[in-house]
Amino acid sequence: MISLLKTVAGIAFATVSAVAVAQPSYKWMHSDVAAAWKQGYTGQGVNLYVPDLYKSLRANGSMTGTSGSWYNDYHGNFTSLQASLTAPGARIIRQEAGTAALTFDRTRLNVVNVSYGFFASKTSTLAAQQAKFKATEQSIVAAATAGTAVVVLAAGNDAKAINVANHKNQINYLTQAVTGAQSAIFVGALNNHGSTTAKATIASYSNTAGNDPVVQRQTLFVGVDTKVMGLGGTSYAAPQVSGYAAIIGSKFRNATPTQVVNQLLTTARTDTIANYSAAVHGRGEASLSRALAPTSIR
Amino acid sequence: MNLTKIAAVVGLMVASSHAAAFDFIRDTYFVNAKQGSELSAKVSAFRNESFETAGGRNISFDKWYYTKWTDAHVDFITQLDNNLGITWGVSTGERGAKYRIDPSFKLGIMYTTEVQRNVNVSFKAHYRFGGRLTERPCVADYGDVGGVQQVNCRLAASYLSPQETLKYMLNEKPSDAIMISIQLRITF
Repeated sequence: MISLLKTVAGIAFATVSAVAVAQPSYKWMHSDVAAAWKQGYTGQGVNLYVPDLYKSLRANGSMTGTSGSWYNDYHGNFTSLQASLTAPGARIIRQEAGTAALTFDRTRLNVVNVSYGFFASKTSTLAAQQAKFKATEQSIVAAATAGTAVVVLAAGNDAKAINVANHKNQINYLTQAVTGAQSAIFVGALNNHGSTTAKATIASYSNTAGNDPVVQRQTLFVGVDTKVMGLGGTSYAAPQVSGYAAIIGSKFRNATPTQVVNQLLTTARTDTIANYSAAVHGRGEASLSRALAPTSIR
Repeated sequence: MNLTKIAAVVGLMVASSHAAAFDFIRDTYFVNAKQGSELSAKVSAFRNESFETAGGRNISFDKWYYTKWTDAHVDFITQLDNNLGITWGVSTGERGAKYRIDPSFKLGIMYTTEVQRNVNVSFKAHYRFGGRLTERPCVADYGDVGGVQQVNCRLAASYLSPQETLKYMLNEKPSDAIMISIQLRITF
């Protein structure tokens, strides 16, 4: 989760073509994703936008290797790589945050991964801060509100409730702007992927859903394996859920962004999380396998 | 070497009917009987599989691929002369809630001749009518995101779109639908 208090200059567009499917899965991935790879269903026909920082904020880690192969790179390169590895069949569109509006393709499902925030003093107002949003952020809020794209936002790394002021008395006005929006999801981080026999715990840094029932209803969690990636933060939780959304969109090709979001939210698991609480974990841990399954069959 | 001797050599059980009223009955021999087939085994492998619904309910495939009766085959040979015979057989087929193996009828010929001392050539061929394995689709409800759709039962929870799963419905002939063989036998 990174701050965008200052305008990020310049516009950078890059389209990454589909990655070949026949490649190994990685340890940080949930086993559901590995299964999707084996069947060759990995987000085809979906545009996955990753507005992020590609010119500043560097980190050390690796999405594809082990601790011995960590390298230094920009935040946006890591998050977009993670999204593309989760859904290699999707068309990944990278764009510098705080620049131009995202241009959505009406013929496809559009998914936007937002692993950054727009922080300002808690004494300000949403209206005042939204007026400062750049075209990128305005288009993200508009898409989440109108339901024209699945918008997946990192919950934040302040160990506070989403939309509550952090230790610097700042609020993320980007998450606040899409609270209650029909196709927006907030994603927090667990220490690992959970199961019924090995339940996951929340990462110490992760923001929680908090007491707002609206936020609780649109919050999910996934495992972020920092030991494997060398990277921590909800920035690396959101791209996993963005990839899930792309895979769901490749199965249900006529689904609207709002339907995809609701499918992810309603099929989240609470039995894989230790001491599950809606005020902490929102809807629970995202489950790709359940999101792809029917509610009933005969 | 006549056909009776060949049957004995290859281990076929000869259980001739001794009724003398018709040549057909007198010259027809039981060859083999078995329950189970390659297609039957293929289906039975599904019975241990399952998936979870969106709500976490376990859906076992057992109820869809269970059968009360396993496909049974019986084969005979009717000898026409010392060298030529007709092979034939029937199978019962089997069925479950989501599949069916059709009954079948097998018809073929078997010809053998001694081309020189201690050297025999045998020709066998048959065609099996029926016996095809077919699968019936399920109706799955995917809620708002996918609606109610016909789907391959086994792949309903997979990453394939519901329509695409229908391409993988089983529709197979038995592997022995057509068989032709020529055998050279030299006795030292």
